Amino acid sequence: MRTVSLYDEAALSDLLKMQREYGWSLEESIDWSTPIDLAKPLVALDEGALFFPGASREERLAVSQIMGLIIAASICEMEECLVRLRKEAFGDVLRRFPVSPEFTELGEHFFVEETKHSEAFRRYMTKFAHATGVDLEDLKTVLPQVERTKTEWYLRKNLESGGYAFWWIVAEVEQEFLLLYNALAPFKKNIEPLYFDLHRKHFEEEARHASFPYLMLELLMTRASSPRDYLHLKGDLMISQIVQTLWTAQALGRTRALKKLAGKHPIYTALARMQEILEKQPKVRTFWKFFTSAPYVSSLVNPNHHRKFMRFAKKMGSISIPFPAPSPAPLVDY
Amino acid sequence: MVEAKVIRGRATAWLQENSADESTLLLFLHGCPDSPEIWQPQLDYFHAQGYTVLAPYARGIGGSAPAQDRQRYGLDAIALDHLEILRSVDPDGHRKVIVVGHDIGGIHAWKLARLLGSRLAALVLLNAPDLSQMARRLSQPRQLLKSWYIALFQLPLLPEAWLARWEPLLIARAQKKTGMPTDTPVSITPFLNQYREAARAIPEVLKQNDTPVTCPVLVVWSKDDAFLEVPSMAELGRLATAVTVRVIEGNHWVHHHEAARVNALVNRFFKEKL
Repeated sequence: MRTVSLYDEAALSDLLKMQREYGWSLEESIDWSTPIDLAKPLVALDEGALFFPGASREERLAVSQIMGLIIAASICEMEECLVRLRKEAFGDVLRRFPVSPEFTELGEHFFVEETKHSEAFRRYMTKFAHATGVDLEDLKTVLPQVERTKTEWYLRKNLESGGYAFWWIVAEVEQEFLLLYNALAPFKKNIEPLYFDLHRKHFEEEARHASFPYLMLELLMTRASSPRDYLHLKGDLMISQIVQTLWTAQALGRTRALKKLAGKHPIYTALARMQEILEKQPKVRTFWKFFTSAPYVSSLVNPNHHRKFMRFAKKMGSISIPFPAPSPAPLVDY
Repeated sequence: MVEAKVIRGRATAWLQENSADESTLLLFLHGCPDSPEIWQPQLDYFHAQGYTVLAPYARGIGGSAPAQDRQRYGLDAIALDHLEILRSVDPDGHRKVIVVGHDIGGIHAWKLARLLGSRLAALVLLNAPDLSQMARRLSQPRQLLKSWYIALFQLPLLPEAWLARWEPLLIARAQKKTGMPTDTPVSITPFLNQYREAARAIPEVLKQNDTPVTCPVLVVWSKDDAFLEVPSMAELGRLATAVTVRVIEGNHWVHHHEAARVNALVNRFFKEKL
């Protein structure tokens, strides 16, 4: 991730130029005619298959696929939410704290890229749904949602009151997306090719624009000056962590609705059957794994996975929830 | 070189470098406690770019004689002086004018901009507010903390007495704490009446709804200004219809300490907008 200064118009201009030059096209850079290989996993899992120790090979495949879809839906939903909150998160902030035409352009391009990413992952989910004989709308009932949730309502209210919780979440999620590709890359040969290609392209652009949320946070935190702003500066990171943890737990909880899809494809049948395994797991162990070692999940809720992020939070003087030290479970080949 | 003329009964001086006969006039208005010499890097740079550059001395500074009548320090009187300087260079009034203001010079720049009408090609503000903008900020605690000295200047006689004794010490402190230049002449006393007259004009300025300036306006503001908060677009939107804002690193005297960068930004703005 390239770090630039908020007030260095030449560096901002160079960064934007690079983003435009190397950006990919939704229509031309991805071969959407490639059929989805349902025999391949979407993500690599740990020995315990997330929360399903002892899962069979077929069950591991199903868990990998639903986890891959949950990740795709999370990217799609979060980036759509970003675009929906653009006025409050970007337009209103720059109206209050103008910087330069270059910074405005960089931000506008950030939102263009996020819209593209969201659309790319939506297309993938649609293809996957069709390949498994269901509609996207049916599939979405078991996948994470942000629109019309309390999470989005809260983030909007926080932004309207001059808060930063939204940008804290964006900054951490962007870091998570970078980690995600690094986790997938060693298993490239086994992973479903279109899914991997999509993540590779997503990673490239995220890596180029991952500094933008930090610039927004820096802008808000260094230019805002009222007592209310001070409270946001101190408390909004913590609030964002609570919102993000609750959202992630809720998003995983939506997979309970898989029972409705059972029978429509062997993947969903296997997953519906596995709900019982999950329910039999000791709750404390599941809870601890959720925060410390569950691949793709613990790194989303526990910011201690992201050193740069935590260093920035410390530098800004924001208070973080004392999450436990992470102990990522090693991923294994399918 | 220094030009001088008696304008409306008072000796008035300004720095001037001529370019081609039809060249655009670039008028630089300095702030407190500066003198036009602060603009030297800009005068050299823009003269080399083909502009005729002018930088008047505020009344009571250099060759501009002080006035007994306090109204000569009012916004209208100073704007008339500036118009007269422009007339002495361009008697027919058909050359385009760009006004650049810093600090309280920005208040005069906004005033003059509204009087120049279609002659005004652009307006540039460097850490410089409009009077109405400043008046509306009086409800902001941070701006109030930064502007305590303006309230002090409103008292009769006391500031003069205070500055007569302590001015060198105050200036030395400001040079250390706020980045005030040490290599150009500075003096606060000649500006006291400008601040008093500006304050007197506030009720009227707040009542009248000035039509926003329609020419391209560039606002360059350093983020670590010890005297002025960085403006919002809402503030600037009331004053002009086409504003470009650039916030950069630096202190209140950004055109002095970051002269090359400011010159390049302003020149780029002229090339893009004019």
